[in-house]
Amino acid sequence: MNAAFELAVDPETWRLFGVSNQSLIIGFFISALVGVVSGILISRFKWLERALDPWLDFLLVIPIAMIMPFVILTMGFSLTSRCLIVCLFTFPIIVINTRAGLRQVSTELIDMAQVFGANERNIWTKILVKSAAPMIWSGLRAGLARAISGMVLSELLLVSVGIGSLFQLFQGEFNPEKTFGLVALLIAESLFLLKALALLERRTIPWFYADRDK
Amino acid sequence: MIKISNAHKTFVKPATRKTPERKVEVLNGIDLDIQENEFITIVGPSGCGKTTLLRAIAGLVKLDSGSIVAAGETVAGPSPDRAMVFQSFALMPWANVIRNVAFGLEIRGVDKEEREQTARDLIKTVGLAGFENSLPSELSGGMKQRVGLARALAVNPRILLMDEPFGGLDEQTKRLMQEELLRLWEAQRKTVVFVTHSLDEAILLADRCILMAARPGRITEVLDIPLGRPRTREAERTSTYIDLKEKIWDHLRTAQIQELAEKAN
Amino acid sequence: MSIVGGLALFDLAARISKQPFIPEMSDVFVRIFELLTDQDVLSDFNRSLQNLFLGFTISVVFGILIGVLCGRYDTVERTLRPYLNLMLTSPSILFVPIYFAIFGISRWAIIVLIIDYSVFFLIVSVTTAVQSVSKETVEMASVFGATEKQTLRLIYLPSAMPVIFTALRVTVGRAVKGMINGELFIAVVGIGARSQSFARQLDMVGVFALAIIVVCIALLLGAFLNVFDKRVNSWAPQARASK
Repeated sequence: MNAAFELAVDPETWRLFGVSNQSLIIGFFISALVGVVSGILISRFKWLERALDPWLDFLLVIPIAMIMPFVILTMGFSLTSRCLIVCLFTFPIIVINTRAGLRQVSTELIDMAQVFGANERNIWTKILVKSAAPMIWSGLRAGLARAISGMVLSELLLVSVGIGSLFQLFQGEFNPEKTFGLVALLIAESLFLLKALALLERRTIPWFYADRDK
Repeated sequence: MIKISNAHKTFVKPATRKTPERKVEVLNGIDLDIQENEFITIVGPSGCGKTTLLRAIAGLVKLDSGSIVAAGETVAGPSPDRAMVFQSFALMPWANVIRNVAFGLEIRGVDKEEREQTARDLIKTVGLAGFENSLPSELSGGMKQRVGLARALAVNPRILLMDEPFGGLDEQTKRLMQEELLRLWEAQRKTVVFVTHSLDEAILLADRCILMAARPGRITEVLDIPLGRPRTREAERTSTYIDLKEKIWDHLRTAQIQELAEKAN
Repeated sequence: MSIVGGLALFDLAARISKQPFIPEMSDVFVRIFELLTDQDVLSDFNRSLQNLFLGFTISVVFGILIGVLCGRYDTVERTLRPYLNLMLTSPSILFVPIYFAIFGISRWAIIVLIIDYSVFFLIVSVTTAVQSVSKETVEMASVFGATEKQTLRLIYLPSAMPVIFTALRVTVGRAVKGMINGELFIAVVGIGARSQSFARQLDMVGVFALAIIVVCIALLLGAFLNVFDKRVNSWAPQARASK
């Protein structure tokens, strides 16, 4: 644990964290945006769903870690390629959850909206997306966990520009304590990020948790 | 007010591993005239087409042949003029009571202050004053249905369609809601089509009661309910009521027994 | 249909772009056959699958055991909850360096990682499954004089089985992920290790071929579980495929 503190007060650590996290944050945001929009488009246009469905399942099951080198080799070591890797990890689960969320909207609710005069646009904005919100958020949370995995994996296996370089250093020094300390910091960071997302979720869809608090 | 002419609707049940594809004739030549300000109940066994008929009037189901003319216009799709109250309430769980009640007005484009005021008035009318900002998850079944009712009334429809609205409520709440509905209807006599499983509801609420049977879905009888208006629970103790109830039960009992026999085969 | 279409497109893109690292699909398929008939590669598979089997079995045994205990006894669940939460929410990959530091380059590092990926998820799933067993059925059993052991064996276990099997299917996927990730980082032999060596040799066709094989393994294991599930849980209404 001392190692963790030592690392935490070292500004160099923070700089490296910053470098690694760039790809995490950017990659996650892009995946979230594109993922949710894709989920919506897939639900709206059946032909699109039929075309993309097998690829989604494929991306979800395949250990992206194995294909990572391929990305680096075609695109080189850059922020873009690292972000792309994070996106590969994150994107599928967000799309799948968005689609699932839209699918489980109760038909009664849609009937109701039609009876009261809603056109298709109304139904999408006022009913479908709002109904699907809890599942979309669940996908975002899972996506963030995967994004973190992706970031860490790419650091450990490929591009050691950020914390990966620290790991290599500590390995070279045969210093397990420092390694543990670094991992502890990383765990703390991931818990922090996930908690932050959860809080954001709570503020966006308070209604979903209202009865659980009683 | 509503004229149903020779309505036909067939559903195709897709084949499963154990059964072949089946065609179910859910509506077989339904003819019915409903007068303005009339309260009609439709009762019958499961599968007799009563809900399908209601949804056809609503415009949520398209007939295979025949037509429905409501308030002078042929029904081609759903409309707030034929507002509906749903069995599972169909409330938006993310919106509070006011927003739910004002939903139809919001779609119509009524501006916020006006629609909230209308909503508040109706919330009071249905007896939910004080719960304006509550979420559906905080309400009981009976309260949720009051919201459903308020929402339907908010758009001032000429026709009110009710799909087993009290089916999901316990007996006591159900009885309360029936009395509430009678009271509300006395104040504003809209044309109502009310589908139910309950024999009591079928008689207590109605001016006329439509009996339907299944396979194929059809109207077997139309009963007049000469129990006078304004209607109160006192009516349940008259001999007319008892006779009517027995008549309806006879009809339903035969249908239930038939259905069990068919399922066993 | 679209898989073929997509692959064809990919192949076309590969041929057109002449990028050295985008493999041509026809090459990949040829390679898959070559790999599956190569003795060295097969011994890699053997090794990896042994680890997988060990890790998975240990996870299943402990997962179901602890899960049932947590589901049945509230105090157990409350004590373990913070640890389960911690292990579940922090991405398992973060533990790779730790296991590596503890176990070095040995199969146990990988097996422990597989367990890390699998067991915590399984415990929580089993707990939920047990908790959702109908209280009325349990009460019924006690009215008929069933002992604790009997209730666990005759009521809880069968009731929870369908949900547990679904959880097992997901766990298989997680275990495979754990195996691969572990091997990529730690191992010298095994599928992951071979993939890494291909990558270092810039043999992208090999990497792709291996990746596809891994996916197939995961799908096969899942399908196997499916069959087993249907036989054990034939009483439960099967959820219709949600397509």
